Amino acid sequence: MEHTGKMILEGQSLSKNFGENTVLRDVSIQCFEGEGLALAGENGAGKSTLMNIISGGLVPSSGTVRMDGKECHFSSSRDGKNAGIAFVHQELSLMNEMTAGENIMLGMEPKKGRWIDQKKLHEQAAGVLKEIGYEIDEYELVKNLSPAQRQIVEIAKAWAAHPRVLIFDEPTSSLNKAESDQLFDFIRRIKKQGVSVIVISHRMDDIFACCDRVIVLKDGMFVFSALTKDTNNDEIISKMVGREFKNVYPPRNEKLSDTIKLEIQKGCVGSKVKDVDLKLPKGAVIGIGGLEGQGQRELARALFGIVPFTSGVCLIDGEQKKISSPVDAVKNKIAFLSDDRKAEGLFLDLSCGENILSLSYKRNSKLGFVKKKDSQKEIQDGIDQLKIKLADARQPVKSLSGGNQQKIVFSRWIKTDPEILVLHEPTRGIDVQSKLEIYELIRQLTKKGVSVIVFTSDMLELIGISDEIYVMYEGRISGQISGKDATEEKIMQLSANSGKGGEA
Amino acid sequence: MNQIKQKLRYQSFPLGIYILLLATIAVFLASTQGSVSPSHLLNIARTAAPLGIAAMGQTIVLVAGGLDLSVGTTMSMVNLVTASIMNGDGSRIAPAVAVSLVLCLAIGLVNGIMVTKFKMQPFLVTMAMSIIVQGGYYLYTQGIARGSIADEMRFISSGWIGIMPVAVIIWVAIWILLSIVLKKTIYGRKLYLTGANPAASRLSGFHADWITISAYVLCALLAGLAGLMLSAYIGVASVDIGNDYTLNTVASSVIGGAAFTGGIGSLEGTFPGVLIMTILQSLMTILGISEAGKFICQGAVIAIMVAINQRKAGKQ
Repeated sequence: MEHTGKMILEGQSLSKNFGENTVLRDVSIQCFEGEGLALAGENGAGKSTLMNIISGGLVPSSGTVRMDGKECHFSSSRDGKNAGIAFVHQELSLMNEMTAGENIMLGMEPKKGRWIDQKKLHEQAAGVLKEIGYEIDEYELVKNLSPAQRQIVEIAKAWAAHPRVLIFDEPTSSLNKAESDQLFDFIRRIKKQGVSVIVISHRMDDIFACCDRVIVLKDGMFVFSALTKDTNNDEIISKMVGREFKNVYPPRNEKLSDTIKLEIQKGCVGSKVKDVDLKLPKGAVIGIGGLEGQGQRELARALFGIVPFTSGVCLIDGEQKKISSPVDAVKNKIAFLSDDRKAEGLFLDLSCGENILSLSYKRNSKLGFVKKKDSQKEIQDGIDQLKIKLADARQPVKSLSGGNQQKIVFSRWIKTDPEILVLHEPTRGIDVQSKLEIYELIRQLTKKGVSVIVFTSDMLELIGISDEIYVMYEGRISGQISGKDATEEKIMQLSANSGKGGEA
Repeated sequence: MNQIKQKLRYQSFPLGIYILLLATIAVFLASTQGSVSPSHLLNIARTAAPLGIAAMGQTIVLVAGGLDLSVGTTMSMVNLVTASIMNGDGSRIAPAVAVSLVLCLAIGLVNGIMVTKFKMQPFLVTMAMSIIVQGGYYLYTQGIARGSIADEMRFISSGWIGIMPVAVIIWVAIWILLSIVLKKTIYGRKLYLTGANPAASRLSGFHADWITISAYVLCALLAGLAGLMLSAYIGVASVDIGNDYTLNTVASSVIGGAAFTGGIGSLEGTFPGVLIMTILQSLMTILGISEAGKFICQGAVIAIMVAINQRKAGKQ
């Protein structure tokens, strides 16, 4: 392969075992000066493990890491950082009660005598943010920032040390299109300065936007490497899942039902959602898109009664209903998948079985006592139905990969026999294989008459899965397009409220 | 071998703590060199009953994701209120017990409502409650403990049925009952779920707040019962008699595997936890170790058990 720069970082025959479980097998990786390297693979393929070894977070079971040709023995991520390798983790690790600036400059605070120079610190932080190309008030407390802004602070924190190798784990998972583009601009800029960038990603867009070379791992082994200009989406995806893979999305409904399952008339939530009219036909999938922060989150949560509508009418099966709490929503056979699976969707410390069972105690019990046999069967059914990969139903759910965790969330809600399914970012941060299975599942459910509303910031998913698409802008529905006719351009126009695409 | 390992790995039964209990008993018997009879051990268990009952309440609150620092003063209050109403008169047992338990119910309700509806930290709410209760009974007694416990009631802590002390029978009966509630009923399961993740519990359409409140109420009622047992044991009113129990209930629960993160812990673990605490105390008394030495040993045991539990959780 052709390489222009000199090699900075090299991992040779790296392996990693956890007990008898081998998660990484004899993988070698090189990273050149000013190069953008993409690391693709399903969840559990060993991407994060590999990057943790490279950056010092894990010690390899065998193999060596070299930097500038010299062998390195990192024993902590601090060693990696000192050597010029910074890792932007997917799990955010910011201090909520500190300002954005303090977080960015953590460990590198400028001093005035013995004390931290707050003014200079925030000036420097603002400088770093400016370099990356985002505007965030450096004095704002992190707890008041949106997920996207936090992600950017996290990136700024890594960049503040001016590393020679910058590693990103799913950098765009909480960014919208415009923010992602800005990030890609930044990555291209620092590559020109000679910084090497490694991006772990599921998203093909990320890979092609800012990387020169892509490496695919599968089941802890190296399977494929190519220059991005010599390959394409389908090839990479097929290497990741290990089979050919053309159309990701199952077919849509031929015709929408005339029966309206759920109707919202002039729904408002404070000043965040304004006069939203929405019709959900029975057995249909409605997609709700738009740029981040246009009221989608508030609308999704209002539908489930978490923060109820402040005005407007909600009709279920033509009857007026008031959904003012999740208790009401569940009574009305509504199910809700939160966009924050870990904080709101799962009981991470508890077993997979308990999680799967947690919404179907009633039918597996007698006089308030849970029946052991019935519940075990219920759990096993759930595992089989969604093909959840786990070693033992008693293992804590936090030990599973993101895709399998999300399947457990689906499994527990399906068991309530919902009639309306409100999905908020149903495939965020999960592997391709699980994504496909979830799309299939959604379609299967609609065939059984379940009506689905999907809130997603993934444009392709929005177009691929929806029968009808509503786009939100500043709390209002700025347009409605049928899924068949939708294109990225039309939706972008509506999202930016710059045109009158569709039938709106 | 691997299969057994796998099975044990996800086993929820706290086997390790029972092994530790056996080890503690073995050390106890060895260091007293046979001068202790099995009935001596039962006697130790008898004195442990108030702690055992109060610790179950603490475990339930910890499982529900909270913490109750008002357990000890609630027990003290029950002692003073019961003794003063009863004043040695067996016919006044019922009103004395009823008034005490109603007060406990109120304490639990207020704790639970403050924590859930006003979103306050359990640590602060229950600490404040503890101080208020203490102030309350100082005011009530004017600093002088009055009254005594009727002989009929003293039976629950000093009586024996056959070879078993009544106190131990009561303790074990409540233990079995609550274990079944926690393990086998929908309510018990929801208690674990709510403790593990209150937000997810709320979004599951559970009445999460009421589940949490019920845990505080249960804890306060169990503290009340423990206060009654303790009163029956000492027989008189005595100011601040139960206050040490707050930290001892937390320690026993933690030794038994309960975690401050919520959703983790079990009464199967707390039971031996209480016994270990009590046997160690007895052992140190027999060996003539000073009060200061006892504190250091207890602290060390708690720290070691927390470390072991942490490690176990990390491995999974």
